Amino acid sequence: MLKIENLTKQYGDKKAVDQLSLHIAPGEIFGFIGHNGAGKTTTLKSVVGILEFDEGEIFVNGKSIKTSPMECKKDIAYIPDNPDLYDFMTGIQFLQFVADIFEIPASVRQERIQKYADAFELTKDLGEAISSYSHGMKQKLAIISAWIHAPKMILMDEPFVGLDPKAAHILKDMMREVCAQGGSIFFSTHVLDVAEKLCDKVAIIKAGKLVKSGSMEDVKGDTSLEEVFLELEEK
Amino acid sequence: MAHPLLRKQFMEAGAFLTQNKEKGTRRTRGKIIELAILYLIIAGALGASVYYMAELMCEALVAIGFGWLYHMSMSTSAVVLGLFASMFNISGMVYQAKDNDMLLAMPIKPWKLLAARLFSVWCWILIYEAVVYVPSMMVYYKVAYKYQMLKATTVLCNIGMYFSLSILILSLSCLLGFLVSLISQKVKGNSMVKVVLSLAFIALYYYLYMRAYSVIQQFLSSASAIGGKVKGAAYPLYLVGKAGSGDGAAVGIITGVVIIFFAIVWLVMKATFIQMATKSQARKRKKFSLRGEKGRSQQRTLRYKEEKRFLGSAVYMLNSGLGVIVIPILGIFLLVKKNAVLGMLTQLEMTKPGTSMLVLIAGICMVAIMNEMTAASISLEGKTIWILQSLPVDLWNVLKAKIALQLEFTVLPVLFCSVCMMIVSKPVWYYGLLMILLPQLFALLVAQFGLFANLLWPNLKWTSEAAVIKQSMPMLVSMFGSMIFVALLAGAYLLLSSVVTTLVFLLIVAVLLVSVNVVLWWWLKNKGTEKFRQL
Repeated sequence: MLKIENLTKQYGDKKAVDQLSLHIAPGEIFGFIGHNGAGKTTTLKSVVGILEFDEGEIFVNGKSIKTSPMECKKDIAYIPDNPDLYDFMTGIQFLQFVADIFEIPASVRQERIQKYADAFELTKDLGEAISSYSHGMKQKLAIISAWIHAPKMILMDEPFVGLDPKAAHILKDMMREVCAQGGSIFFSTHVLDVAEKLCDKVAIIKAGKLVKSGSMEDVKGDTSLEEVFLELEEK
Repeated sequence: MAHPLLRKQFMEAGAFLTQNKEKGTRRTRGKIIELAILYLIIAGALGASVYYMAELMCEALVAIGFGWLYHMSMSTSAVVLGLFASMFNISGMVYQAKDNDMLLAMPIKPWKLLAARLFSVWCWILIYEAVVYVPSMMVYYKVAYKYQMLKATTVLCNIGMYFSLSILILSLSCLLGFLVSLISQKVKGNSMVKVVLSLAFIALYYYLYMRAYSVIQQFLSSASAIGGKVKGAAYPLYLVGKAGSGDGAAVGIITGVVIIFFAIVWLVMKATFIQMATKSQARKRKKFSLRGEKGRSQQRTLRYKEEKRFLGSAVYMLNSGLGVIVIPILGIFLLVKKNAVLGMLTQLEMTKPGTSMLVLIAGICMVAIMNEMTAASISLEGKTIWILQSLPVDLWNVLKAKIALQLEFTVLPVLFCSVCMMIVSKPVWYYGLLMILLPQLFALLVAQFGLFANLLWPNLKWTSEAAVIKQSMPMLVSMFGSMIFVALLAGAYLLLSSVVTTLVFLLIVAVLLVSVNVVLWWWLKNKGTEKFRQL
């Protein structure tokens, strides 16, 4: 589903991501872990075509993000760490906007908006301006907008920040549902407990370099993910 | 405690010079000086145009003993400019500042925070006011020196008036800003409220200005008979004029009144500051249920987004879209003043056939520059730019939607104005065609040039949208660039008028406009989309 090969991205002299390679198969929830500034957001932004990279290749469903960005973007959805949305729109206007871009038929979009907005208890607020939303409400709206076109691959940067426990639980169910239908999830997080329980695979990045990657069992072994992470960080 | 607050205010105010918002880095000293010089040149250009206007009237009035009328006129102009430039800053910089919550949680007395914010607004007012006041006083001193009327007390009075008027502007701005914030909190769709209030303010200003003008006309024709009446009817304005002419007592009275007025406004603001700054925008939510809404095409939905942004921001509408109202008003004005316009056109025709058509076309083009939506449209994406960059949307379509927005609000007003001009001037068919075609081509040029400028100087890291709409490089470049383009064409006509007929000249202009539009279109489609992708 997603193949990252030798990805390198430099900001001036500093390598934010250095020769990073990952492979995410259909049906996998893939956790991406690292300290602040390790290169997680840069990697995610490179995958979704927001950032240009210096070396390497990224393939989404076999298509290169460099040569076929539009085709790749049709298959993916992205939620950034801080959901800055269009404050001048209402919630429903934003969802309609995203649905229009993906050319979702009216009946289908109606059904999906209803389903996810009801799940997050956001339906009654969709007529309000996004500027009046709390951080959590914006995060919920960003999640609904990502799910609205039933993408094959969803990339999320710290998706649980700002969500209440119930919404976080709903999001985890939604992630599992995507994977059950053959899709994939690639997300960064600092909440190691969540990653440990939710992810099929995990990758740990440090100073732009991949230091450990594999199935959750292989990475953590008999210890916890937190212990492995802290141990790697201290090296 | 006041020092750190003031330091913060000045750092915030000076960030447009010291910070590179695009790269998020501090500018080098050389770059800061370079930018400061550029802004000084722009302020100087504005000041020079005021100087020119002031020269037209100063000597005529001083020579007949109506120096006070000159001072009154220039002082009210300075107040209006300062007021219009700063009244919306109060709402944004005082009540809706993003760091209000953080600072109010600190051990700082709220009145000190309010005072620091107002001080910052006042500094801006001094700059806005100086653009009008300083050149107009320079003209006055030149004329007064010629008539041997220049005294040190006059200069001192002018300095006193400069500061008194700045406090008056601050007080009026505070009062209007306070009212705007109060209404905004109560009424939904507050950007429209701000626009309506501003337009009402502009209309009121012009009404009063016209009234004052007619009073002045009467006064000039029969000064001794109705002088007392005028002084009685508009005594405060007369007093402002007298103060500017060097009447110390008038300066004292005005300063006293202004201080009392400011003290009242200050007490009201001080008493209500916390309530106004922290009042939740939450209103009773209306019931919402999902209804089957029709989808739009990708191109239509991108334009819809631009329309929502434009119509959702009072600052954007007032600063970049005033032409929507002013251009049709110009057309109506021409129809109403048909006879006077025809007289002027006949005189122009005597200089060279077709000149009147050229002047009319240039006139529409100049007012069409009032619509400058594209010049801020890239920067306004701000932190939300990730949305367009991550969605499967052709970025050329995004840029086209921005151009389309400007044309949507410009094409019809300009067409209406062209038709009004045709009704008044009754041109032969080919001039009529050019009267329709050239302003439309120019409107497209302004839209594309604004976008071009914003792609060259984008700022996505703003904290207040006013920074990219009112005080940005692309906005200035686009506006002055378009004006200079018209001025250069006028200059070219003067140079070529002995060689080519007006019709041929206008046809050359049409070809030039088409060519520049094609080049800009090509650049935006190829280089522009690439630049947008890399933002």
